[in-house]
This record gives sequence, C-alpha cells and structure tokens, in this order.
Amino acid sequence: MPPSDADPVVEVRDLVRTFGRGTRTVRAADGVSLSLARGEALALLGANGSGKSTTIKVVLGLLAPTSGAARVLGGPAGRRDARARTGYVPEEARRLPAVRGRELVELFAAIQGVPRAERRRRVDEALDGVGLAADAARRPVADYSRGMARRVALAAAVVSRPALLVLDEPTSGLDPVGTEQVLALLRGLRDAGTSVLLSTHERGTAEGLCDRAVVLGAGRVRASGRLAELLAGDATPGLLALFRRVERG
Amino acid sequence: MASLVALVRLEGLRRLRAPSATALLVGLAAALVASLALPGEAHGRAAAALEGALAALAVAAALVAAGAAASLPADRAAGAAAWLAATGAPVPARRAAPALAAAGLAVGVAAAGAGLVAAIAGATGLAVPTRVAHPIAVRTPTVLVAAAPGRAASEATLPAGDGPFEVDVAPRWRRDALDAAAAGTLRLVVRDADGARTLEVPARGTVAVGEPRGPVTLAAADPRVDVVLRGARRLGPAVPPWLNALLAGLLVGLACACGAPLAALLARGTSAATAGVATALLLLVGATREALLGMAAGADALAGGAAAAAVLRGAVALAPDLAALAAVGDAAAGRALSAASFARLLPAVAHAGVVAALLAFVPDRRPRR
Repeated sequence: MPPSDADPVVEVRDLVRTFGRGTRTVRAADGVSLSLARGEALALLGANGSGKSTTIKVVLGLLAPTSGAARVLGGPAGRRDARARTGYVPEEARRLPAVRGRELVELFAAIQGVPRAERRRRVDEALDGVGLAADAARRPVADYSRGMARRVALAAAVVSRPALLVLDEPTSGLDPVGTEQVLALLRGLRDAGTSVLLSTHERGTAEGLCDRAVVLGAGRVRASGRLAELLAGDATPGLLALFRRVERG
Repeated sequence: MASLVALVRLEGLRRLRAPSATALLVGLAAALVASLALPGEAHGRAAAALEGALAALAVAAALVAAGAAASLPADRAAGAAAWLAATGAPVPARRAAPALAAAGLAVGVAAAGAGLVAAIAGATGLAVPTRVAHPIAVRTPTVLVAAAPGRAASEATLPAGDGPFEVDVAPRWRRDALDAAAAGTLRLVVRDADGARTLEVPARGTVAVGEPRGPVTLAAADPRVDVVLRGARRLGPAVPPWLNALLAGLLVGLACACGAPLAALLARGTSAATAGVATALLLLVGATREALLGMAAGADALAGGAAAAAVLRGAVALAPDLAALAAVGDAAAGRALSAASFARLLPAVAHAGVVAALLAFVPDRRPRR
C-alpha cells in the first residue's frame, strides 16, 4: 500500500545500535524512538556522544539497527527509493575537495534523478538559494571556507527537491547572515512540504526552524516535545546548559 | 544509468585533478621523448622508438589502472563514501565507478600518447613502414630437422601466394652442438620454383624470406640444430604507420584497463598502496605469462621444483591474460595490427568482467561506526 500524507516520513521505534563486542560493547543508541511528519522540522539535540549521529546514520541507511526499526518514506531505512528522495548534508562538507562547487551540485542532481533537461535550471536555483555566487561555484571545494562548503553541500542536498532533508549541524561555520539565509531556505522547503531532520548544537538554528525536538543523552531519549516547551520547562535541565556552553564557544 | 555516468565523471575529474596526475604526465612525457631519442639506424631506430614509446605508455596506463585502488580508501577516510552512500545511487554503480573511470583514463592516456608519438614520429622520419600481415597456417610447433646418418629430414612446405613472407624461428640444439649455439645464428634452406638458397638467420626471432615463387619448402641446414618454426605470414599492402601506432596504443590501453576492476576489488580488503602494487604486479604477470608458464614447465623438471611451478602457475591464473601485448612487437616490426590482435584481449576482458561483477555484487562488510 503506498504511504499517505498522514504517515510519518521518518519513524524510529526502540532503536538500539551497539558497537564492539563483549565488555567493550558501546550502546550508541539505546531505545531511541521518534517520528517526523510531512512538512515538519525536528531537531535532534544533545552533547557529543549522545547518539545523534548514530540515529541519523540509521535513518540514512548507513548503519543497520542492532534491534528496533527505522522506517523512512514508507519503507525500511536505506532502501534505494527512499535514499533517492532524501537530501543529506554532512557535518564536514569538504569531502570531495577536487570537485568544483557547481560540479558537485550537478553530480548530486544527476545521481538523485533530476531529469537532464531540468538539471541546469535546478542547479542554478539551488546555488542561488544558498547564496553561492556563480564565480564562487566555479572554484574547487578545497578552496572553500567551511561555511561556503556547507552552502554548496546544502545546494547539493536540495537540488533534487527531496521529500526528506537530513542535516548534520547545518549552520555550523556560517556567519550570521549566512545562517539566516540558510534558515530561510530551509523554512521555505519545510513550508513547501519537505520534512527536515537536523542535529544541532546551536539554539538559534533549532529555534529558527524546528517545531519539535528530541533531546538525546548517552544514547537515550531524555526528553521530546515542542521546542519552546523544552526550553522553557525544567524537564531538560541539561539542554539550556548545553546551548550556553556552545554559545560561549 | 545517469547515476553511473555521474559517478564515473566524478571519479574522472578527481583523478585528472590529483597531483599524481601531473607527476604521471610529466614522467610519461619524459619517457616518450627518451624513447624517440633512442640511438640506432633508420628502420631499427624507428622500431626501437615505437617499441620504447609503447612500453612507456603501457607503464603509464598500468599505473592509471592500478590507481583505481585509491578511491575507496580515500573516500572512506574523507567521509565521501558515506555521503555518496546516502544518495540514491545503486550500490553496484558506486562500487564500479572508480574502476570504470580508471579504465577509461588508462585507455585515454595510452591512445592519446600513441597519437602524439605517431605524429612526432611522422614529423621526424621515425615512422615504422607498416604492411598488412596475413598469417599462414603452420602446425605449431613445426620442427625442421636436417638429414643425418640414421635420421630422415623433416621439412615444412608453405602454400604459394603473393608478396614477401616472414617466418618466426627458434633453435633447438642437439647435444653435440655447443659450437653451433655459440655462433648465435641458424641456417635455413629455402626452396621454391626458382631453386634453393640458404639463409643465415638470427638464432631466435623473425626472418624475412623475400618473395618466393610458388609453394616454398623450409628445411634445416645444420644437423646439429633443429629449427622450430613458430609462425609464418605473408605481407600485404602498406598501411599508414600512424594508424598502426594509434591502434597499438589503444590495445595497450585496453589491456592495462583490464586491471582496474582488480585494483578496486583488492582495495575493498586492503590499503590503497597494497592493492595498487598487487595490481601492478598482476598486470606484469599477465604480460609475461608465456615466459612464466615456460619457466613453470622448466621448474617441473627439476627435483623439488613442483612448488615453484605451482606458485608461478597460481600467479598466472590470478592475473589477466595480457598475451595480446605481444602485438607491440608486431607494431614495432612493421606488421599491421588486426582484429585478431584485439581478439586476443578477450580473456583479459572476461577476467575484468568477472572481477567487476564480484566488485559490484558481492556484499560489503556491515558498515561500522
């Protein structure tokens, strides 16, 4: 049966993912559950080692769950059709340094199935959307600042107009203007029906985009709900401290 | 398909822009210039130049093909493998793309290099005059034996035809022929409708017999040395030397490209350096397989040599069959390459196909953190 709009775009249930064996086993995700609806933005919050990256990798199909289940776009996580409808921005975006910015976006457009006839226009739109000038897009990614590399990775993720965007620290390294530009783009995509799952340490990013958040700690869900309530209440005493630590640098 | 094309393009761009590409091109240019400047006279110099240039192109193409080993470990280290794995690109396309890109570049480097060599050789008078070669069926090996007391002669007769012909010969000395071996030449009797003449020919190699009238009979002239007739051919019309050099470069590139899937497959289980060196060695084994199999046969005859023979045969079995590279010698000798020259690549292409299938479809280890 095809998925309906009411079905969650991402649904993670009792996810456990362990690494290592015997006494050296680490439970990176320990019973994580979350769901993400169509057109919703959900923040994964937590300190380093809290299980955010593991959860994201399971959703992307890069890691198989040890137990539990992750479904994406109506099927098990990692299925090819789901991957083709998912855009991903890794935390470190200079992973293909020899490629020029525009080439990178063209590459992802081709891989993700953007029709050849539309490719040039869609690449232009994506680069415009992230505010990357044409001359900058002609330079190799190796020459980019961290913020520019993140913009081009974001352009590569959105060029195929994915149903789901997965972002690992999407505004890390961006200046305030760049951050607002990226958030505006992401808000536009969200409002157009794209679901957004992001991990972040930055309060402004979470507040500027997300309605709900899941707070992780030591692989477990510490709290989840509406972001404003989580920030206002005392259910997540570590959360504000985390943001304060990050903001202090 | 669009994913595969895009990934192959990505790999190609990354390789062309890598610092090692510049180093390789500079080294190749130096080797080509050196080969064109090899000393010698007229035809001998031109042949040596072409052979040297094709050898340099083979080394460069082999290095490019072996470079397919670098992609996966580098991508894992940089995180690009995970990034691409999160896209909709099919797994076989992601795995095969580095091998296909390396194979394409190997062919491109060899063909472009050969084109350049042909142009320079033509401009400097170093082009090798080339003719079409029609093989003459010879029962292999045909051994010519001179008559001696208690022993009848054994001769070979080749059919009549137009044009000059050549034969490939090798000596087989009898027990009492050490002085003949030291002489380093063979005597071959050639008889046709015009009569018989004796040729003094190199002990091992190819000799032009001229244009005999009617069927020609070949006989050994020295009872101490039998002559193994390894091949014979008639030479036909001339072909442009540049075309033959270009085809030879293409053949060299295709042969070396067959190693690219092997490099990518080995890189899944070991480091890039190990996989690259192993691939280069296996390409070398594939190019010298006839000699290695001959050595294995020799080792079999020695006490305790069976293990050495097994090692040699095992290495040959693992390596792609690059016997087609013998066509480099044909090109240098002025014989036009033909479809048959390329057909000898089929075993290597089949080897590459099997390895590529293993590369694309055998599941990887479960991804780790």
